[in-house]
Amino acid sequence: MAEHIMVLPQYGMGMQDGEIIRWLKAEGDLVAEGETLVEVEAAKTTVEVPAPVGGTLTRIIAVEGETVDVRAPIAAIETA
Amino acid sequence: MHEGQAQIGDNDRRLEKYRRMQRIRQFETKAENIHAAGEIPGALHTYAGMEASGVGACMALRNDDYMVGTHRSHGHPIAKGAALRPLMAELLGKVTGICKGKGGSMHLSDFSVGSLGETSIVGSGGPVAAGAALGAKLQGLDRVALCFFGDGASSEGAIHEGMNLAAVWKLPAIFVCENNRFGMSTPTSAAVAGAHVADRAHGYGIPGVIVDGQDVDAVEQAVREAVDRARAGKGPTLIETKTYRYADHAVNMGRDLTPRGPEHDEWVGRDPIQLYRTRLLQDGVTETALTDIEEAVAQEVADALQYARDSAYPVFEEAFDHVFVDRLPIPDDVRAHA
Amino acid sequence: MAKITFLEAIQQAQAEELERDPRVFMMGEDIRCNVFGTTTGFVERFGEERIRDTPISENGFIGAAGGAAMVGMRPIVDATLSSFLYPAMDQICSIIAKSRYIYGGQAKLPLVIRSCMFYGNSNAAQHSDRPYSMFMNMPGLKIIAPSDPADMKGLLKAAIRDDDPVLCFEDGTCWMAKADVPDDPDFLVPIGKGDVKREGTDLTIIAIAGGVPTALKAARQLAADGISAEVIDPRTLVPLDRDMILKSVRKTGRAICVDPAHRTCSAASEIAATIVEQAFDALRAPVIRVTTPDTHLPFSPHIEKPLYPTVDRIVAAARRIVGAPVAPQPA
Repeated sequence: MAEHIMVLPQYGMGMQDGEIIRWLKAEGDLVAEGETLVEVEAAKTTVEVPAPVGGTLTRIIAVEGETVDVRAPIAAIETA
Repeated sequence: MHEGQAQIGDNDRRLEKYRRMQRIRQFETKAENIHAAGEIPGALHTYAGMEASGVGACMALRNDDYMVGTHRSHGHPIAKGAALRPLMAELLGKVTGICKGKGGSMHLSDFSVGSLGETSIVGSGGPVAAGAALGAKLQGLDRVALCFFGDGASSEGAIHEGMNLAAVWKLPAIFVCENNRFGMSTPTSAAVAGAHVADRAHGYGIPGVIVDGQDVDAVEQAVREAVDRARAGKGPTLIETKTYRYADHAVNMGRDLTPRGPEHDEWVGRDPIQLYRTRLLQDGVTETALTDIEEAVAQEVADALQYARDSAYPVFEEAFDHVFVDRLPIPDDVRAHA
Repeated sequence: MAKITFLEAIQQAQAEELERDPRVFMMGEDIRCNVFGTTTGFVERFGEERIRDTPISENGFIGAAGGAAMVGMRPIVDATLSSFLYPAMDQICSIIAKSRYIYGGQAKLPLVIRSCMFYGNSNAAQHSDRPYSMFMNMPGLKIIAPSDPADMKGLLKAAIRDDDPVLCFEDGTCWMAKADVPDDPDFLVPIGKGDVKREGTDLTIIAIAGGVPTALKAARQLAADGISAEVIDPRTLVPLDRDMILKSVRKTGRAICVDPAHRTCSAASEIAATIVEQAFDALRAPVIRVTTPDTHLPFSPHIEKPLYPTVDRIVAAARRIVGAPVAPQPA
């Protein structure tokens, strides 16, 4: 068991931050590695962000509507 | 006969070519002498031996066509029809100079005859010529832009970037490499890979033409074809004029840096002005007609020098003008000691 | 008046000027595909002749902008990253900056070279430059470096209408900032005029480009401790609004220069020197520069981020120069 902190990815060199549009999973849900987990809007483009690891989504750190910096923590996933 | 050939062979036109070559030679001979005597500051890079290249090329252009040249800048404006007074005044650093005394020998650029600069950073005219051709195209004008550069500049990226842009956008540009066999002291054989600069045209998918740079009619013919092609929207041409620089890189430097080979005498023996004089006489032009031109040019040069000598030096404020459209303020501490 | 981002301000400024003046056209690498959103809808609206994708040939197309300007056009060059200006130094310095001067006023070069400064984002040393201060040392180039959407739009429009060459440095850290921006097609911010972004009495913070939002955050934090900081954004680096800077420093007696560029010969250095030369009598403390140190910018974010001017560094500098006389430096 280990906690993996997921960060906001950077799409393109100029991206500084992004807005969380929608979480596709709720806290407590199981996620598979590569499964779409959250939609983020950056520079007017919406991007589907996949789960970096498989496990249980234990915590959503950045909520929908929140704008966060690139590489800031957005969720925690407990790996099996 | 091609219409252009008829024009090239026109008697008045041929006399005009002779006149302009004489102007360059006599202007520079005078300049070299007074430079040796200390009347012209800075370095003086002469065009002697290359007159047919500049005059042939410029006679294929209209007055409103654009031209960009080099630090060896005396020949190009005269070839394109510039008046001598402001050019000589510039050599002497006077305010009546074509650049108000701020350019000097390397920058005799007369915008009233279509010049967009005589630039002393080798190769740097290439992008400017491409841009002027682009500007003409965007404005719907049928003007062309001609870029003079040397064999030394053929190794500079700027020339190749300019040629590539002109070729990929089919711009009305003509690139004229005046191969005078030396980049300062370095012979072309040690600096230019491949047999000819003109061969590089193939890489851009444009015509590459080699022409005898000592034959003013041949140069005009080659450039005229390139101009016709450019005006027709078919894109640029690279022309290499095979020519020769008589003097050292710059004159009156105390020692000759140019390694002269056995071909030196052969080149001097094919002087472009003498060759043309002989041809004109053979074709029925009278000796009197030619000496009249030579004497008239001598008068023009004497007049230009007198004008330059009679002119004032720029006032100190001039040093702060033309950095921007609005004149810069002069710092108090500088003004106090100027 | 509408709330738009810094990037949208660039798009609007260009669109309005392309609309207004047929001599204006754009050149750059991959501008038709609208990489950053500053050329949205331009090809459809203005055509491929005026919105030109170039070869990857910075010296070529930037020099060509100079040539086109000399024959009466008003080019906007989008050079993408300011790091890409280096291959074009030849044309920028020898042709664009000098042609008007060297030919005694015969040439006019109305052109704008836009480039953005991507830094603080793990792009490593070759893609993270903030090179405006290098160009400040070259006469003949006007330089703008706006920090908010309204200034961006107004200054870029003024630059496009200006008859001199203008380098426009667009700070990537400001891209997504939103603000009210006038939609009057003749809204201009004059080149050469600074702006007081926040009024204060205890010290003056003169900040450049992306340093301005950082300085404003620092000023808010200082205010909570009862320290009143004035924040000045010169907006234009050449010509620099020295009068506004000196007037503020004469009022507060203290100055901090915040500049995301490297320290040596930075804009901050020039501003600090100006203050020391011309307002020395008004100073109550040393002038401090808060800049990026003279090292390169590394890829790894953990060691890159702390190199730039931060709120903490500005606040610490402010505390040092406010209040009791400054203690002598340890030897």
